[in-house]
Amino acid sequence: MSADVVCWWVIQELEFIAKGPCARSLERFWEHRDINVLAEILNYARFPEQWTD
Amino acid sequence: MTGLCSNFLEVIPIWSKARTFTPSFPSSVSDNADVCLQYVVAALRNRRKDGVEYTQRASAYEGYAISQLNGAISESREREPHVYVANLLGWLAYTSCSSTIHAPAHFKGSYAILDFLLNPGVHLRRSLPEKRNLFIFGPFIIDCAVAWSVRAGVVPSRNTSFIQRTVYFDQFGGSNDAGSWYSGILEATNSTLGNVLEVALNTVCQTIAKEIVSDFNRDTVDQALLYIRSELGDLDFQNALGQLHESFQEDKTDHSTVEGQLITRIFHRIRVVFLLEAVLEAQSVEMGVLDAKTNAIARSVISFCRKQTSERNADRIIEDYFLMSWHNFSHLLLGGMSLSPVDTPDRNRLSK
Repeated sequence: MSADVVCWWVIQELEFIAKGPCARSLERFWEHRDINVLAEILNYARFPEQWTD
Repeated sequence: MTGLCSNFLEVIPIWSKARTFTPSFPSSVSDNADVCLQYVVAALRNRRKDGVEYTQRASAYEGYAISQLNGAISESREREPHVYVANLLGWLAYTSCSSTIHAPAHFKGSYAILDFLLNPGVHLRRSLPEKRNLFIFGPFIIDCAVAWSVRAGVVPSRNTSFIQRTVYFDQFGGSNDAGSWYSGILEATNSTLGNVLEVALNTVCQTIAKEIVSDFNRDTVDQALLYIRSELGDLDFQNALGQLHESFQEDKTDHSTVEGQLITRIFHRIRVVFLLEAVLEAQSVEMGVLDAKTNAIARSVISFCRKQTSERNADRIIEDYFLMSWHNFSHLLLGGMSLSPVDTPDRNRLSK
């Protein structure tokens, strides 16, 4: 299976579950390898609510 | 076993049977904790009601429960009942995102009471209370406090073992006739990996934020790797994974049940944990994400997500419960970030 096909499946899957902005971030990271975009992706992947004491 | 402890174990069945709740007034200070527990159970039971009604009822019961607990703690020297009540209040807030209860305060409170009971020192000049329940459920209380600290971004120390988690989850399951709990091994594996994944992901996020401003201090990373490896290195945990895989994966995978999906998600989680561990082992997060080892794990993560995606059908939404949730979305993103398209992943070209 080619890498492009797998990447395209990930993008489609993210769009299917209404995570379009995350899909766009992934595409931008694959294209530019920008550390700030990587940080954005990692934050998207976190549990939605961070608790504070 | 005290009446209070019996109630503690029966929370889920009592809640699911949706009886009419009529709190009794305490005849003595020692009953305050028991009444408090009844209020917490009533609040839990109301989670099945809709919106406004739930909010109103749950808030009222939670308020009564906190008031009773305050009274019980200030007027009674018995501490064993209080540890369960305080922990259950915290757990209620943790699971329901209640705005009435401040979960961390109750997790801390129950942990402090537990510590007081197990390490009496000079403060407790009488014999320890009957300890069987404390030994079974003490680890649950500690794990609740750890789960909260993880959610708050702290890298915890490992204080309980996998087998202790299995024991308390089996006790919950054994006291429950409503089918709300799976086997102790399954619950403990899921819970352990949930914490490990959150610690790993929080650490990667914090580390990259520091690297962006040229701070390459690795103290937190080393601490997180120690925690992750200590959990993954538990032999009982490894045996549990082996049993679950042998019994419920490969040709025995069954996504027609929520339990089957939960088991598949466990194996998605362990792959993502390995991926994040590989990222943390590299000199920087950026290097780790682009590393060949991480890329190999990422391809495995995505490959299994693809292979095990449930059939999309409006009539089968419940079957997608675990595979469509936030957790799987997170797996896709984390696996996806370490993939390498052959060239620029041009959207139009990829769609051909």
